Amino acid sequence: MPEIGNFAVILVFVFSAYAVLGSVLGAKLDNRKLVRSSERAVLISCAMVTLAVVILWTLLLTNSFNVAYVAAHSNRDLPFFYKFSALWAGQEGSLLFWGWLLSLYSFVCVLQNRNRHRAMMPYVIAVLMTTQCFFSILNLFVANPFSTLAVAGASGGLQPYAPPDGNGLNPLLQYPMMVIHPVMLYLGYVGFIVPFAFAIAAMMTKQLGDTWIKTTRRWTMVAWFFQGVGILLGAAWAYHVLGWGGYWGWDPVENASLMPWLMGTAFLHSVMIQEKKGMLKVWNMVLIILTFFLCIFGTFLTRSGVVSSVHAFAQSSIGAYFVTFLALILAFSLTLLFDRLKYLKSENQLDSVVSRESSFLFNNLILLAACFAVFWGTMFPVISEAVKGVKITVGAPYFNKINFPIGLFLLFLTGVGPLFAWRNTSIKSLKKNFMIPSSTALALGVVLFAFGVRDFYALMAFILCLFVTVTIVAEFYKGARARGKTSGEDFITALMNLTHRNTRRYGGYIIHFGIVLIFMGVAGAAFNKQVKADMGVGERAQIGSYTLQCDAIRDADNPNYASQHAVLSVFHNGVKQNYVLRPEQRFYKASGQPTTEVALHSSLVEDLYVVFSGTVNSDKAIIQAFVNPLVLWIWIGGLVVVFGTVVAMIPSKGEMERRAAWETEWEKIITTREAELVETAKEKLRA
Amino acid sequence: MLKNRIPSLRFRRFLTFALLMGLLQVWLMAQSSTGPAAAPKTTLDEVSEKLSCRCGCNLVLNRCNHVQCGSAIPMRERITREISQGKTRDEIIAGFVREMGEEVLAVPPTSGFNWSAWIMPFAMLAAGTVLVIVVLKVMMRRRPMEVPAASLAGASGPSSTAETLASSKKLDDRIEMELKEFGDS
Repeated sequence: MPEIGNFAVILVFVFSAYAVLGSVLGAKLDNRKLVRSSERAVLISCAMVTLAVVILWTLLLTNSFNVAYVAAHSNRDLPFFYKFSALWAGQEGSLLFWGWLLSLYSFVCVLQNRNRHRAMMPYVIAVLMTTQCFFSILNLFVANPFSTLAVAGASGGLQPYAPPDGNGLNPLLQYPMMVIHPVMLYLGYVGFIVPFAFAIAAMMTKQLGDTWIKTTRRWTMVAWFFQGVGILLGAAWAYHVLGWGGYWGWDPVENASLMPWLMGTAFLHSVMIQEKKGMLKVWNMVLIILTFFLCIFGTFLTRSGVVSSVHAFAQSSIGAYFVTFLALILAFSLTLLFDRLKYLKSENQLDSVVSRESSFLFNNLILLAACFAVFWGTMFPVISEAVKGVKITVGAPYFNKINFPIGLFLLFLTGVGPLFAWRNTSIKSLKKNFMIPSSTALALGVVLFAFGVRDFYALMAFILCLFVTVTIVAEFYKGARARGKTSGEDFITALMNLTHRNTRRYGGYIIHFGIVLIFMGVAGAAFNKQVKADMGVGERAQIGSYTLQCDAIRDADNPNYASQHAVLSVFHNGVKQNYVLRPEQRFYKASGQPTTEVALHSSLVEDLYVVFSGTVNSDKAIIQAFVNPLVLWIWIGGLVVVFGTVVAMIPSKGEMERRAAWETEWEKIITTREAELVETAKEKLRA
Repeated sequence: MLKNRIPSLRFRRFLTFALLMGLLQVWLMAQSSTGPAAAPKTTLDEVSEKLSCRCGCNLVLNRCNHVQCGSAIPMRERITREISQGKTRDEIIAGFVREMGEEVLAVPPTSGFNWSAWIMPFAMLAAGTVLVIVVLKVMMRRRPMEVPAASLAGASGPSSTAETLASSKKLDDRIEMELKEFGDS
């Protein structure tokens, strides 16, 4: 069976290479049949990667330990659920998974656009399949998931070998969220290739209007959405599994996922100016090139282990391949961009500095600055080693200090944006628009200060959160009220119709509100409390307004792991709560690795987070307890972002009407031209 | 006479910029200083939040919760011991740096080449701000461009000429395609 898997990967390479050549030649020679055949090659390539993935899953589920990947990442007692997720637990499998998702995106993209964008599609296919080729090369020559184990036989030759059991899945990955998190993140990383491919195709065909942007808007949103959800799930996983009390440690792999998201966010905002005003065409190209570059760079960081990281589970010589591919992406895209500059000139001029266009530009600047700060901090150990020969640690305090002010400014711009009108904003209307949000926010600042909030960043964050919230609420309120007045609809109906009329705009505001909630949750970290105590049965420890009492220390055992947990009663302000916490420590038998299972009690105000780190003299539990205020708002904010993204992706009423009108007009023209053609043909026949 | 006394616009801008950069530097120094603090009594947390755990977890020393961590536990024990010997935070940190190198610090020190770790993001932000201002000025001065016809395919910007040309090109393409298929069949 591994041989079939290997052969499927070889076919992926062959068909994707054919698709690249066929589509480019088809476009150059204007040979439609060649392009059609390369489209079919994309579909076959997808079928082949799917076959390879199904084979690897089968090998994992059937405990085929003669395959090195299965032996390294699974074992007999691993639950079925995790055998399934072991596909993306190691380097070889995750690269195959990357390629599979890419092939699925390519499949959908080709089917969706088979009869559209005929000039651009061959180049879109070429970009998609070049990347597919790259990943199949990695799977064939560097990280082959179908390699089998062998030992030297008595005769000196190699004999097939299958160990009785595997090493098991990394215990940190044996968590339900970890089954979904990598999938989401990869869907994000891979998804940005579609807008990138269309951007390259637009430059190749010199069709540099906004067609490529309109075509890829939903693709970009889907990729951005998955990337964002993946990041949040990763944070939730870190919070619930790693047990250090936080959700974001600025680990290189976390940063690798954040960078393309930040760049993609800048792109999503910036394209609006091109659609509305025909401006920033070069800038949008730069942004999507960098976004895709950062997606591959993120995969490189994760897989190469170039910067030491807890997540860089596998380290190998794969880095050289990635660096070459990254260099090719940059060299080709930027050369093409430089060559097409004359076709990318703005169609309009900026009317005023005080306008929404300018605020979008500053928003882009801040997002890029945040992205650069993350990039610089992540790569600084490598840069320092290259320059000084000394590796430097760049830990979480660095990123917090650099990114907090940048993040706050970004939050400020999130609120300011809607207050500016497109084209020009008069000072009078600016004063009017600013008055209520800023005065409300300042009033909150005074109240918080009076109640003893002295942390500058937290205070600013709360002030700005309210400022942005008021601007968003005002946008909905004013819009619904105006609509209600003209149409006679009640407020709720007007609000629904207003949102449906322009889902992109109002979906965007909902996303902004979600981001506000996330900022609020992050700001709560300024008030975190932490305590460490050795607790015998009956003993108590105090943290903030909570008292923990150790009721028992218990052991448990199952085929996968042995465990020990403490049973803790909780008193809040002296009142016994109706729940107990059971922080646990596990020892996974197959891998021989210990892990901690956090006990958590969440509320809208704060989280009580308890970690059991073992015992002292077998009778005292080592307990680390944290009180983390407002963390739940981060996850709620994430859900609001998800909801907002869904709203923004729904076609708006206006858009649907325009599309229907356009299609009717199109049909009319086609019918007329067809009739003309038939008439001409008849005349020719008569003659 | 009066005109001579008023600094030129360029000079005033330079002064504002220099002042902003100066403030930024002061703020950064205040924020990132690992220098001596007037702490009355050194605590374990005070020292361990300035150091990184060397077990590979990428966490600050006071955050590493690895069970029986081979790095965090001995480091914390050493800090506790040295505090009880009366050493200050900076003496303890200096001892770790002497022994393990600068890598043991949780953040890059604010000296030499490592300054660039702190300065670069803000320098880029400052440079970006200047660039955005320049771009905005250029965009305001620029007259609406005549866009090369080739790039208009598919364009639907607000310019009515562009829109019309693009629409007709798009329609022509579609018609050609439909006619070709009609002819083939």
